[in-house]
Amino acid sequence: MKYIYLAITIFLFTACEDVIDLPLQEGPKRLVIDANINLDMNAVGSQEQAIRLTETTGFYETFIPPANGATVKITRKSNNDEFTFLESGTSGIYKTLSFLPIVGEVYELTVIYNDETFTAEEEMMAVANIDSTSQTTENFFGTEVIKVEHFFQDPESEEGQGNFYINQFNYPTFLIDSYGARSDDFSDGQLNSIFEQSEDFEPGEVLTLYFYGASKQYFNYFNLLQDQIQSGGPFGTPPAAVKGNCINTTNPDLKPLGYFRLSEMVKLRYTIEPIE
Amino acid sequence: MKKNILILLFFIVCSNSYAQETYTISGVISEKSSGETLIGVNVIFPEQQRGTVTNGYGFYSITLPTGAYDIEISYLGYQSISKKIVLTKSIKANFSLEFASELIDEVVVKSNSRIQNLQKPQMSVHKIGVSTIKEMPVVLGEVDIIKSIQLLPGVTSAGEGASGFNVRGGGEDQNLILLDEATLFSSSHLFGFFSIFNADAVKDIKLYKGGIPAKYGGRVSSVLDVRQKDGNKKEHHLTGGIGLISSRLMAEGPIKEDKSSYLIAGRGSYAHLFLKLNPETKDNTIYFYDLNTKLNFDLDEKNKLYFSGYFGRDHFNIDNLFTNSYGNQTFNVRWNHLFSDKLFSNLTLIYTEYKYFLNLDFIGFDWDSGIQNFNLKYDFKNYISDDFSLSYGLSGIHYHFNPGEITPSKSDSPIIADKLDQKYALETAVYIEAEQSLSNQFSMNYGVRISSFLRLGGQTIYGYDEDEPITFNETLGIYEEGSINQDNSTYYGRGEVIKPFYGFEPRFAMSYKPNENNAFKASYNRMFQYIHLISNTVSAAPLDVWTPSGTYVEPQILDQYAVGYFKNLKDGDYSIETEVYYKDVQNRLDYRDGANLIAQNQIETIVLSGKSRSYGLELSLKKNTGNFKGWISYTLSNTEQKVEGTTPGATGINNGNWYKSPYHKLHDISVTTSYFLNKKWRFGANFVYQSGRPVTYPNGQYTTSLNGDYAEVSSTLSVPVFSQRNEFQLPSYHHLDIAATYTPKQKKPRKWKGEWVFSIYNLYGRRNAASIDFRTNEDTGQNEAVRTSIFGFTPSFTYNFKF
Repeated sequence: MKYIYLAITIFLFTACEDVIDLPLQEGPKRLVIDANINLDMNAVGSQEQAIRLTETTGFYETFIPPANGATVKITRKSNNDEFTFLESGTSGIYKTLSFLPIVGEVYELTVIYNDETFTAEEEMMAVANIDSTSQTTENFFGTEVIKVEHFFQDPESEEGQGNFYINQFNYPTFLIDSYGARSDDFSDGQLNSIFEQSEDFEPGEVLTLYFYGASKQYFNYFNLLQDQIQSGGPFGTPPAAVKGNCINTTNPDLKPLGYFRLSEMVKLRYTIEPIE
Repeated sequence: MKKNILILLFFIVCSNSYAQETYTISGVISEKSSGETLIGVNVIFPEQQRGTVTNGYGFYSITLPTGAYDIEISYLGYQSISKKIVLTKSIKANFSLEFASELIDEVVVKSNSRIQNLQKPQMSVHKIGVSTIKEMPVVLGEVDIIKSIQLLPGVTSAGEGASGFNVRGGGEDQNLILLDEATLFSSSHLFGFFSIFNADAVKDIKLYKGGIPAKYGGRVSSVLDVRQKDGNKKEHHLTGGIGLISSRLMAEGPIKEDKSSYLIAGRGSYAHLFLKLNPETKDNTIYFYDLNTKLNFDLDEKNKLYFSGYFGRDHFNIDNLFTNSYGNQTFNVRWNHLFSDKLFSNLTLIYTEYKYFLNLDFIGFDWDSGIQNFNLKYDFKNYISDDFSLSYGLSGIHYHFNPGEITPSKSDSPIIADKLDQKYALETAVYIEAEQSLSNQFSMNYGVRISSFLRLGGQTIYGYDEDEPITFNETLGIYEEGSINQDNSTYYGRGEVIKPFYGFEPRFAMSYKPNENNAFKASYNRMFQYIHLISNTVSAAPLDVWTPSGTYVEPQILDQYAVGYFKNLKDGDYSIETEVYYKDVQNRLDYRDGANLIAQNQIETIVLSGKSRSYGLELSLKKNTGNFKGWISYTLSNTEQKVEGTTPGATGINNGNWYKSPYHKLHDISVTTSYFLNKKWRFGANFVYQSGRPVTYPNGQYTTSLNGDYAEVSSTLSVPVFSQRNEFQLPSYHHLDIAATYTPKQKKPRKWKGEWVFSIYNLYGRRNAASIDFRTNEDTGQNEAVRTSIFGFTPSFTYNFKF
């Protein structure tokens, strides 16, 4: 439904955009826990999982400072199995090959950094597999674009429950990947689809789809995140402070940023076909 | 308070009956050439320092003891009439005023100023009559009423691209907008580019910023009472204008000379045709149109019947992928009846509908929402004596809210049809107000409005676990949707009362006039507002939802205190006005973070209740006479709101601290000037300066990669970290507009009259920021600040005609 605001923002008749030099104040530094555990449901063998710890920095900075020397582990709540993540050099990226999450299980992440302890809890979510893909040529605002559409079957949900999905499209000419988030609110139990279209698509190039399942809490968080990133326009919603699911148990007032999520993932590489 | 009024009434009535014989002089005052009734005409008895004004239908009545009097009828823009009358019995005296030519304008204005502002205790009100409307600043070729009222002190807009207007820090939804007594739900076309009012069809405007009479209710910040013309009762005329961006045409005339008349006016824009020049935008259409209609019948001396209609639409079609249309439509019937020469009544029956339609073909859905209401009003004014009059009446409104209906727009659409719960309500009120002159220097208005709001059924009201539609997750520090509890949920049938609300709204205003040229005024009013516009954006985007009070949403209650000082200088050549006000509102709603408004069936899960307050100083200096006229107004004000956590541990919004409201404007300066060079050329210039709108800026950033591929640069998302809500301000908003009107000289007077208007909006092309957004540049990967501005240098050319 974000499409509505996006659509309204695009068209404004004499709207003019220009980049301006606007000095900004920098707020206090905070720890960022970027923990994305994705289990590729179509891959074989063990998969490396990575968690990145960084600190916040000034809005216009290009270098992101890593958080080094932290202790990172994930515990499976039902049987207390532990999985330790080890830092790769001084990159702030903590990895392991031994973690295999199971759908429906709840996991707890623990990070100890600078004498403070941070925790987060989330459930491992499932995702629907992609059944089929279609490629068509469309006319969008006067330009010819190639549209790639992936179809999936949304399982029917119980009253009050719902399925939530996040998709990410990666393409060689995209400087930033393209994202979407949807719920099955209006299309429960139906054949759904996600698509990406661009005038830059060339036959022979690969469009990669990353398709994730999300908890309702992560879905809300992700939408808030998108609002923050795309915030504004004449119809802008006042940006909210996005609060992830991580807690600082040592100093509860100093919450870390970032989110700890686990989900099945579909990673689909689609090669653009030549147009007839 | 009610008891005191009754006692006071009793004494006054008694005291009057012991006085000498009194007689009433009453009648209707109209314009000579058209028969159009005139509103707010001064009927003065200069020696006795007594007087009255004509009401919304041109009727006046005043009761005086037997005797001989000098009577003076004056109205801005018209030649005054002075007469001697002898009152030995009650008489009916109708007057016809002639439009003043420019030469004697000075005299007319002088005699008016002395009387106008100072006489009545009314304060915080701006009255704009026929002749002033014609001289209002012209922007984009036509008179824009909303842009003009934004030039008044205490009235601003929320900024570039914002529709509607804000009065004394109040929200757009807190303005009661009336067109011939019918309520409109929006006041602008095309995001504030044009106003909803066709100035050719408008006769009179009153804007109440405070000191709101008991006759009005339902919105807390202001009342904009706009009256349409009735239609020329003597001759048929065609008035219109053809411009670069929009055109208009109005036809009026008698059905039966001097007895009945009609008026029909239409307006539309076609600027979207310019989009066809650019291949990228050629399949887009953006336009608006509106239609004003009026029929009136003078049945006899005591009865008049009016029929009014309005239909307006904004329409957008982007490449056939996205279609959006919305607008107001109203139809009403009014019956004026004179019970006696002292008791005037008006019965109105109104039907109003606000419709909103959206189609997104690329997803595959149609969205329909709107509000329908039926309204009945019965208003009385009893002109009891020369120093006392009583207004009273009742009003009832039945609402039907359609928050939204979704239907699939094509056969292969994944969308399932859905209809949000329809909502119904009944808002009623009774009021009584007295206007009293206690002496030549001191007068008071006092009254009360008693309102009630019944939220009616025809829907299920959901119950929630722990009775919390919004829960606060303490561990995560965020608000979340509450869980529906089916056992606590109740279905209410149509007509069943879900929840009743009652409001007691005292209104009070007084004025003290120590001498001819000075006046001090003070007022207090309490207002209740039962329906709320839930808007997550600064300017009301058409997708915003009007929601009625009910189980989870309380009515807004406002208290406003104001004091003012008014002075005429140099015998009315100049005037100074200054007012100080303080307002506070209880139960002002705001969104919780992460709220999704679209297709939200349970509004109670996304809004939090708090309070707001606003205070300010308004100053204006006017030059009323001469070839060069104008005014400067300056408002210094502060508007803020606060939402505290209600459940234990909850943080509220902004940690429960006061934060600036979206309509807060620290400084607001407006300069309006008009220069009359000669009969051929007239010039005008306006300058507006406003502090920038409060905004939330980022004070840091961090990154995240959903796919965990930290080596892939394009998979890294840069996320801004934001400061406290509304801690900063956009750059200031200012623009200069100019207009020149050329009226060709006619060697001999002809039936066809025309003039050319050339105007430029935003002369120096200031890029006023509608918003500043922060994003990562797709080409460089660098974060940057991007300003969106909308209305640059915009010239416009219009030919206006009348025959």
